[in-house]
Amino acid sequence: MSRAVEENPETQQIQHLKKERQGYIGTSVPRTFDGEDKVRGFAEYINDMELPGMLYAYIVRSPIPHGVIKSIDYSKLLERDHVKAVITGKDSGFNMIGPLRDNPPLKYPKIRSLGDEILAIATTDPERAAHDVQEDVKIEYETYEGVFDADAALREGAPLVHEETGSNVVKANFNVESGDIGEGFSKSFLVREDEFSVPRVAFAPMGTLAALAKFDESRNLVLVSNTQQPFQLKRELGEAINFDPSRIRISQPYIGGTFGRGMALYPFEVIVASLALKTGRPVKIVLDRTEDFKYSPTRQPLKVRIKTGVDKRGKILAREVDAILDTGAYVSWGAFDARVMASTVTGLYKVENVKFDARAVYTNNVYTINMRGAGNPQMDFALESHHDMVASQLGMDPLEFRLVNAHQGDYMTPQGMFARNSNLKRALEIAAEKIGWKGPHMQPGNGAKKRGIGFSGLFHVGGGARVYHTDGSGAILKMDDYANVTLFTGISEIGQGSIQALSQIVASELGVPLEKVSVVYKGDSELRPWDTATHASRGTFVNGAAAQRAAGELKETLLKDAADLLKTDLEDLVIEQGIIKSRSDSSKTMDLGKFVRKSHFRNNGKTYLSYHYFDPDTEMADTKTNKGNISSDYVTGATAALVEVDTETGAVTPLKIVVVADCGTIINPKGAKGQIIGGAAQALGHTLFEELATERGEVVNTGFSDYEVPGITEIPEIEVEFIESESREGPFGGKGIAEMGIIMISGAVGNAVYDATNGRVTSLPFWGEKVLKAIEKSREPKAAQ
Amino acid sequence: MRPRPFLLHRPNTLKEASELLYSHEDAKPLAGGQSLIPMMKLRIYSPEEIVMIGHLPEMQPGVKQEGSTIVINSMTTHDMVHHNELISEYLPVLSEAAAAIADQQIRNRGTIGGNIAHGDPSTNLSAALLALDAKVLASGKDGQREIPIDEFFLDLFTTALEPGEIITGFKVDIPKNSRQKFMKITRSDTAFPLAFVAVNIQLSDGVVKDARIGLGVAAPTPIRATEAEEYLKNKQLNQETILKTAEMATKDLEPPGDVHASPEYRKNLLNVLMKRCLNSLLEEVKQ
Repeated sequence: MSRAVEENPETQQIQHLKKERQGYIGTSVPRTFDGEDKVRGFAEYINDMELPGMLYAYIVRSPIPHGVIKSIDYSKLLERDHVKAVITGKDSGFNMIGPLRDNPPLKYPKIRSLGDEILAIATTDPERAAHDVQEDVKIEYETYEGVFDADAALREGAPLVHEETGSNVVKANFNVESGDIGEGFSKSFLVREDEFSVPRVAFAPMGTLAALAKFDESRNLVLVSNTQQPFQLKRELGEAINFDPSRIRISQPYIGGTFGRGMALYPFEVIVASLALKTGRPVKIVLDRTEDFKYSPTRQPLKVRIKTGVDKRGKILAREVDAILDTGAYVSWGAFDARVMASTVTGLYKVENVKFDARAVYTNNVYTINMRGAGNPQMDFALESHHDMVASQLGMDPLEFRLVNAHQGDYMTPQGMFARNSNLKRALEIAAEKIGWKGPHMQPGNGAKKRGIGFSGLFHVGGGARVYHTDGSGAILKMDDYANVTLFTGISEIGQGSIQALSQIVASELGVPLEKVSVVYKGDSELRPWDTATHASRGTFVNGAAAQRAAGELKETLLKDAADLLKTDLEDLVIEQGIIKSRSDSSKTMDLGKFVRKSHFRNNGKTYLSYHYFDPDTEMADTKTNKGNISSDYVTGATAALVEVDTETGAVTPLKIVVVADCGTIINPKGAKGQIIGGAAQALGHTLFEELATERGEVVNTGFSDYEVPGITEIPEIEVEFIESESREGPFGGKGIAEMGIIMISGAVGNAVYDATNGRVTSLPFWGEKVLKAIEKSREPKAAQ
Repeated sequence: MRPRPFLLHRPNTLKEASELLYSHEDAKPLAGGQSLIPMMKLRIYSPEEIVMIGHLPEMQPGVKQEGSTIVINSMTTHDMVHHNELISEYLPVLSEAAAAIADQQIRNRGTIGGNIAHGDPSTNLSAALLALDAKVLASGKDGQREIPIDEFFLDLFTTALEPGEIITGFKVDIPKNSRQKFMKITRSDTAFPLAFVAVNIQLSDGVVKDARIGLGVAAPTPIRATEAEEYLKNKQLNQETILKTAEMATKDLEPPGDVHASPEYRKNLLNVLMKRCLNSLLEEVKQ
């Protein structure tokens, strides 16, 4: 146990609670809250919402990727009876949005990507609007030469996406350095350098982008948004439209998946809000699937060069990594994934001398945002592929190479992240055993079909992530006359199932039957306490910790009052299954509901509520060094993949995936496994199928027939094994889990392909054509292995 | 996206349907809707009028044997084609091709008539029907006619159907001493195939008496590998002849290239599939 645990009485209490393993912790609970509504089609999403007098926003987008608007004329449009308001970047008065405030919600005069929002209409009939803009809107453009990948953008004299910045390199520092790489490399027995790339991929959730702006009875502006950060969004929106944020309320409907793209305010959200204010009527927009593929932010393309020096036994002595991220036309969170990449480079395996440099680069492509894993899946693929290449050159078993360099126990990464009870070594060993590893190139093949096994490891935040000045969340509990408990939480339910875990945490801590707990988790965010955002695997960890503490406090208040009523000591009483019981006298029992009713129906009565605000004991990274202990706990894990490669077609078929995850106490095993399997399935898509192709900034494959995501027939057996370690502050010792499944798959599958064929593919996805070329290359006499 | 507005006709007879389609140039027939509806929803294609044909008596799902011929009605779904006993027994290549179409939902709705009428080179059944020397039964305003499948596919999405003509079914003569195989390669099951091959060979004492080979996604239309078929005739099926057949079937191909695969890679896949189909038939014969 670390010092921090011993010194903190509150965390000691949590450790104590964890040992008892009470109530519903560790019980597989089916998805009672939203599961049935979603599966049966009763859940109301934004596309289902129709309101009296509602208008629709129609957006005219730029047909060119780079240039300026010379003139814009829409006077004829105003004469159409279905048109109720028109705004353009020329007259909107909007402020810029995005972390660097570089994205005007309506663009004028500069155009930086194809699909840039130029003009927006509030209309009663979007079909007619689409038709009429062809005739009524006259826009003259001057087209500039564009830059469509990071290399082109970095070239001397390249056209500038944002002239005012003087460079296409985004002004943000992601670099991390520790030790002396020069010395490390000079002492190395072997120094190897490799390059990898990861393409642009689409988020492609079931729910397309949408928003609805309306007014409540007090004429507050209400934005119905599929956001993951309702409490930050109101300020961002207010600032964008110059409107008092205290008159804005954010409401969350059922959300059809976000995978990270709900972390920022969208131009179309600003547009519907502004059109609603202009017209005084509700205004809705729903992007169709084609538009969602074409105009929504994507995961960023990455190019990375990795240089590693090792001693004879494979111990890593130095590492240097250069990453280039294509942020697209504007900076959203896509560029900031470089921060997470840094923690993978420095924290995944032991490395004292390390230097990580990253540049985010503006291009005239669609802008990018952080996808589940936030850069870790991309960097994990590159690093873990590189590790196998180093091991192979050393003539070393790739598992052995990992075990030599893996952490076990407590350690501080060179980036200042303090990991407790790390289990990377154990996770690798378990994964190897479960998949049946016998050493390199030992899997039997069958004719043209060869089999191989590959490994990868994981290091990720699991105790929140302090990327804002706050990482806190509140929880409110209220008990009714029948001892039903309602938890009010600021969490965003985006498909992950956290609310189920929260209900288990509350029921277990309080001692009430699970079915007595309901959760208010969507709708008007003003009816729920502050939450920083649902991201970085923090939902169950932070909101769960707040809920557990609120439940503990409610229990204490209840028992104190019950002790008075039953004329006994507080310590003598417990709550079990909704009944207050005396430990010393079994005749002294009282139904919790009856107790609450008694407290209501009397003079000087009382109602039972509790509130707790939990903010993890962490620090923000230093802005110069990018070092700091940003998370209360870190998670580790390992993945092993068994694949079959058809050496005549290059087709890669995963046969079995084993994911070993240490994410603290498992609260709901069924939900936890679902999270891992879902993430792994998504990663298999990124590994085997998905690449958003662009031509001069235009997305080419704009639908599921051309952009393939895996279906049930493409997903192999995925075995999930949990190692339960102790977390310092999490609910019942739990840590974050949401991103663990998605991070390791590409690396493990790539290494398995190599193990099967000697073919090394250094870019995703592993399309047959590419794999076949890699196999052919490995058969060339002089091929470097 | 929703389709653009259109006018929907529900004729009472096949003749009425043909006349409607003939006199309304922009009208399109709707059977199972597995190609037409997605195109309309994407607004790649927006016909102003739709003529429903799925309810017409002559079109109803059904497979029957008439002497030495199998007759398959137009509205027979892929799932029915896959599971039909007559087809499994006599035309296994067609059954296998139907089983390999996308997912169960699409196989439940998609029909053999629609699949062929679409004229898409990436529809599994086209290669299988080419390999089986099928006849397309077409009904127009001036009556019925039979179109040999070899003459049916003219160009990308263009068939030999005349204005107003509707496919009512297919006729296939039961091949004698026939061995058949269908194989395809896709990245994911529901995606369009990268390449596929349908083979139908008549064997006598291990010697190929006749051969028909259909290739998919190999050209703007579904095509036959006629040179390879000729070569294979009167040859013993063995490793050498299999390699040579695959080589001849693919050497002059110029398959389409797109974001999913280059022409060279498609050619390679067709070659591999050709070999695998014949090898699998060789294994069958040996057993």
